[in-house]
Parts: sequence; structure tokens; C-alpha cells
Amino acid sequence: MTKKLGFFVIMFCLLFAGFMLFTKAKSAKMEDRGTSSVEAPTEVAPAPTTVAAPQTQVPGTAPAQVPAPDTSMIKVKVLEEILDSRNDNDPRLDTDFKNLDERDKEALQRKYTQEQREKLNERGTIVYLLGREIKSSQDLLFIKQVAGEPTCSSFENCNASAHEIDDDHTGANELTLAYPQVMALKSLDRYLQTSPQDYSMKQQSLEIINDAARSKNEVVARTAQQILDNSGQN
Amino acid sequence: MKSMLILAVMLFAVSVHGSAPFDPNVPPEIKAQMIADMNFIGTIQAPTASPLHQNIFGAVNGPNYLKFFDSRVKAIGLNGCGNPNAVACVIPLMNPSKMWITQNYIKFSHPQIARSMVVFHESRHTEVAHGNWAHAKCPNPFNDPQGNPIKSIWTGALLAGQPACDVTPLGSYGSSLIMLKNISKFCANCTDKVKMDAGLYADDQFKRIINPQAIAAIKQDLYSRLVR
Repeated sequence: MTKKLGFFVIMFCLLFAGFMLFTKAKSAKMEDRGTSSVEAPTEVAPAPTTVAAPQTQVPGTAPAQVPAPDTSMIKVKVLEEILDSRNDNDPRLDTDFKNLDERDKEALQRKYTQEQREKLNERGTIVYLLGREIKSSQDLLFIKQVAGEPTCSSFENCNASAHEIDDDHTGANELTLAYPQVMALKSLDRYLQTSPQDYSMKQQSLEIINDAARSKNEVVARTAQQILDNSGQN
Repeated sequence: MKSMLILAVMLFAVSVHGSAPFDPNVPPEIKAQMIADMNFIGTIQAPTASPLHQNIFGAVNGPNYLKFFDSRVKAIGLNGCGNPNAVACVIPLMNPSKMWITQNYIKFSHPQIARSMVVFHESRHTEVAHGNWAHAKCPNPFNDPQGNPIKSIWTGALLAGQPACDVTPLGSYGSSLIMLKNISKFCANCTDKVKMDAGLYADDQFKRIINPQAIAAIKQDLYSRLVR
């Protein structure tokens, strides 16, 4: 009897424990479902509203153009860095001076006139950069001015009369002394090789070269003549 | 990998000047400029070279140029070179393996490739086995293609009869113009300005080659059409 009672008590306990476990598991499951239903909201909270810029546009007119930032001073600064380093292989010469706008060109032209005449490579480099960007008659005026400048007669003083010896140790000198003028002519040569469609600019370029071919400086005259000969213009 | 390569090239350039030491009286600015110029030359790379260039320097690349220079120039000193406009010279009677640099190396505003050309021109003059590649006398008359006599821009004196020409493509004028023309045509990592300058100075030096066979050899090597 006692054994039977004990058996029933144990069975009851087991059933009770099983019931409790089942109830707890069910409630936990319900809680899980409840949490998932409030999981991170799928909707992104609306961005804070921005204050609309005041409308400055007058009805019926085009939107106001924001002027491009003036980068000319930065370009001159970069150029000065390159020139001071005396490193003609600075890759910025190929990247930072393309598609110059009018302000860039004016700043570089100003830099050219500010450089001492004896700074031949420096001046020639500026002519090279501007000569690569010939796009208007205005650009040609600068090239014309350089090509027609009197060439430097001495590295020490461009205006001095030269009384020096010429031998095989001075082979590169005569070209360097006319370097800005030669760069101007080479720029025109390059420009003409692009087969420009603008007849007036083409004629203007040829006039500059023809004038240079009559230069008293032999290097300038020879360079101009070679360009004319090679382009079949003579 | 790229930075390691650059470092290797720079170390090589330094070693060039390690074996060709500067005299103590060479001003630091001249020394610095020459090392900077040689470092620039040491970086040059090109996928191809003309046959004459292959013959003289090998492939168009920086290490070849530095090796060429280093194997010839064993010392660098300061000298006036007997000419107020000279940039560099070799005086074989004093020391055939020594190059003398003048103050003009930094005083004159030459393009970088022109300074380098002068140095390589002079390095050819160290070769005793070839009689220092002595220059030939320019012919008399010595005219440009337009028929005008070529004369000194300094004095107006004619170059005719002066020892300022070459009769071979392998001499000082020829080798340096071949170097520059190859850089102009083939350099893969030079700025457009360097390539343009190299072409300008190479073409300019060409007028100092006076022997018809030498002229024809250089034309065949590098010039598709007459530029002289």
C-alpha cells in the first residue's frame, strides 16, 4: 500500500514537473514572438528636415551661376615650388596646368614678366605651360610678345654685350639663352600640328613664326625656319 | 614594391657619387644640384632604345646611365675650365678620369636635361682608349642648312675651323645627342617638358656632327626626316 502510494506520489510529482516545464517553455516562446514583433523598426527614422535655402531666383530668370573658385594663386604657388626645386621632371607639370582658365593664364603671364630675364629655364617653362593651352587670339598675343622679345645675350646679365669665348664647352648655351623664344615657337609648332580650324588664329601663328624667321638671333631664326620648312609653309 | 624600387635607384645614385667623390672645395649647392640631376637621370625608364644607343649605353634606363658615368668619372672637382661660359670640362692632362664642374652649373639657368647633357658629353672625354674622343675642327665654310655661316653668338666669330665638331656618332656630341634623342622619343616616365627639352637640345647638338656618314648613321638611327 505504502509502495503504491509512494509510486503515485512520484508519478504525480513527475507529471507536475512536466506540466510546469511545458507551461514555462510555452510562455518563453510567446515572449520570443513578442520580442521579434518589435524588432528593430524597418522604417528609417525620417531625416531631420533641412531649412530650405531662401529662393534668390527671380521668377522667369536663369538660376544664378556660382563663380568657379580662383585657383590661379594656387597654381602660381605650385609652379614656384617646381621652379625652385629645379626639377623639370616634376609630374605636376603634366597634371596641374592643364585646362587653364583666363585667371590662371593671366597669373602665369604676370609671373613670366616678374621673373628676371636671366631666369631662362623658369621663363621658358612658363611659356611652355601657356603655349600648351593656346585656344584664343588672346593666347597668341602673349606668345607673339615672347617670340619677339630680344634674346638674352649673357647668363649673368641679359642686357650686357657679350664678349665671351665660344668653344665645345658652351654647346648648350646658345639654345638656352634663347630658350623662352624657342619655347614660344615650339608651342606654335605644336598648335599648328593640331590642324586648327580657326583660319585667323592659324594665320596669326604663321605670322609670328615668319617674323621670328627674320630674327637677328640665329637660334630663333633657325628654329622658326625649321618649323616653316617642316610644315611646308615655305 | 614601387617604393623599394625607387629606394634602390636612389641608393645606386648615391653610390655613384660615393665612388666619384667630390673635392672638398666643391660648393655644397653645386654638389646637391649634381646629385639631384643624377638622381633624376637614374629614374629614367623606356621600353625601347635605338641601335646606336644600345651600342653606347645599352637600354634607355637610369641605372645604365649611372653605370656609364660612374665607370668613367672617378672624381669631381671645381674649375673654371678656361672659359667663363663653360659648365663642365675634362682636362685629360691633369686627370683623364676627373670631371671639373664650374660655378655656372648652378648659376646658369639651363633646363635640367641640358645640364645633364653637358655632364654626359664631358664624361665621354674621359675615355683615354679612344683618344678622349677629341673633337674635330669644324669645316670651313661651316654653314647651317639655310646656307648661313654658323658663328659664335658670343663674339660673332665663325665656328669654321674651330675644334668644336665631331666626325663620328660615337663621340661626345654624338653620344649625348643620341642619349637625349632617345629620352625624347622613348622615355616612359619623363614629363612632357623633359622630353621636349631633350629633343630640342639633341637637335641643336646635331649641327656639330659634320661627317656625312656619321650624319647618315644618326638620321637612320633616330630621325625619320631631316631636322638639321
